[in-house]
Amino acid sequence: MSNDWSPEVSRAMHEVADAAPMPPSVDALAMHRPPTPQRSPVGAVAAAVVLALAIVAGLAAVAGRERGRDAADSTVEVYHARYTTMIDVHLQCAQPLNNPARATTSTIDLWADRTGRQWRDTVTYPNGTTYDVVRRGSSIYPTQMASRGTALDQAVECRLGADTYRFVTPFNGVVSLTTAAEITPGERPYVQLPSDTAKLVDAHVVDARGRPTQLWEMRVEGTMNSGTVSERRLTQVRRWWIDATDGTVTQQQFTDSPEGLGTVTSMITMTVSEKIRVSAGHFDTSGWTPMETQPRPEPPAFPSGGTTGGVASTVNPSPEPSSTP
Amino acid sequence: MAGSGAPRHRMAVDLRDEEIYGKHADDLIRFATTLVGPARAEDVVANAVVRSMTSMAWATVVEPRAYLFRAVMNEARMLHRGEGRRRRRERAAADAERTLHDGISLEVRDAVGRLTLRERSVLYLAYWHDMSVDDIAQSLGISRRTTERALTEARRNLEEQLS
Repeated sequence: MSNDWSPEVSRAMHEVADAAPMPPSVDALAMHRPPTPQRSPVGAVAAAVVLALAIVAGLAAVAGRERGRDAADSTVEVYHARYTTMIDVHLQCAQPLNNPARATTSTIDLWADRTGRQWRDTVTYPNGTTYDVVRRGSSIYPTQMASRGTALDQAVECRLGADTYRFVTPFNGVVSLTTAAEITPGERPYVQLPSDTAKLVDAHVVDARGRPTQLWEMRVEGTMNSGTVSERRLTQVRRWWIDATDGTVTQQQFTDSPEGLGTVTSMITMTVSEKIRVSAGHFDTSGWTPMETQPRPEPPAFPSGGTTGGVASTVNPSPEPSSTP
Repeated sequence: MAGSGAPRHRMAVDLRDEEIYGKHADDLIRFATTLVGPARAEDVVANAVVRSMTSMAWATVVEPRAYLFRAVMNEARMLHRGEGRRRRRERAAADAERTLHDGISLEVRDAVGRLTLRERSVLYLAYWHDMSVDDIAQSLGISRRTTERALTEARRNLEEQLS
């Protein structure tokens, strides 16, 4: 499908979509009574014919039920999680840039079929567009990937004279490696977890949705270079709210604080966590765009001799793995 | 979300239905707006969702999103069929007055209004969801060739009308 839309088509589609009212509330639906279709005389005759055919179709219905049973069998049980993401901007920028192709909020649905070794992310943006990615083989280092739709740039910018400070959310569409790992707590990933890199700040806190969690934090102090402008001090803080009972991360926050400019905070919060059944076709990527995959990196090779740090070392020709991870 | 009195519809009790609707509501209302305009989109969505979720077939639906899109399209089609010319003229006049408030220019309203429901449906799914011809055909239950033709016609008509 060509994405080369003419300005006329884009204009029409946006004008109409922007005019959409709010959808009816669930309460309104519960009270809603759809009108009964009026049957014309021709319709009544047609209905009689349909009734007669229905008798004949009775036998076919038996076969239909069998097909329905087959359809039920073609579903798979998956772990489904839904996240909401947002970027909260408090920057002292003279000239914030505004690009309609960007989004500061999104909803991410993740379906994990661990038995079938396939994962699907669907990101829904405020303008109604979606971006899908399916990974196979591994959620961390997939052997096959395909996407559909367009990932919107979840970033904010502001200008510093001739230069631009840019913040890109770490939760930009496809759930990050760490997050993907976090929703499968029983499957320790080949990436670092909060417990590897962060400090436990408080063992008894609640996240934004009131769930009892532990709060872990990692703080990094450094400098940023914004092009020709001199370096500026930068503090980055990453926080994880973790359900201590099963290790699930229910919320993550990433804050960038460039000195003198203010702060930008990106947050991702899990709102749904459940086991459900979906059709096997849910992971079908026919017609999607294949994506490149990266092979799982091998651990660093053991030194084969020589010196390490200026100190001569003797290498065991058959080293045993370290007992401490 | 249980309704008061004697509800005729069972949707009041199914949390999964509520979740499905919550997930697709924004999309469905935009789709309906493309098909029938903002003034009638709410009714079309409400009719489609309630009819779908109260039907016996709903329990066997494995692709609720595609099912609901088809239901909205069917509802829009019924709306078009059920109206006489006089009522359409009256509504067209009223819609023109609403233009100042709903943000759709008369030019765009007129251009989109010249498209068939099928052309609007196909164009919506291709534009907003970047769906392939095959996916659209499957979602709407029409042939690949019909889908391609509808998309080509929709694009050509809008470009001619709005250039």
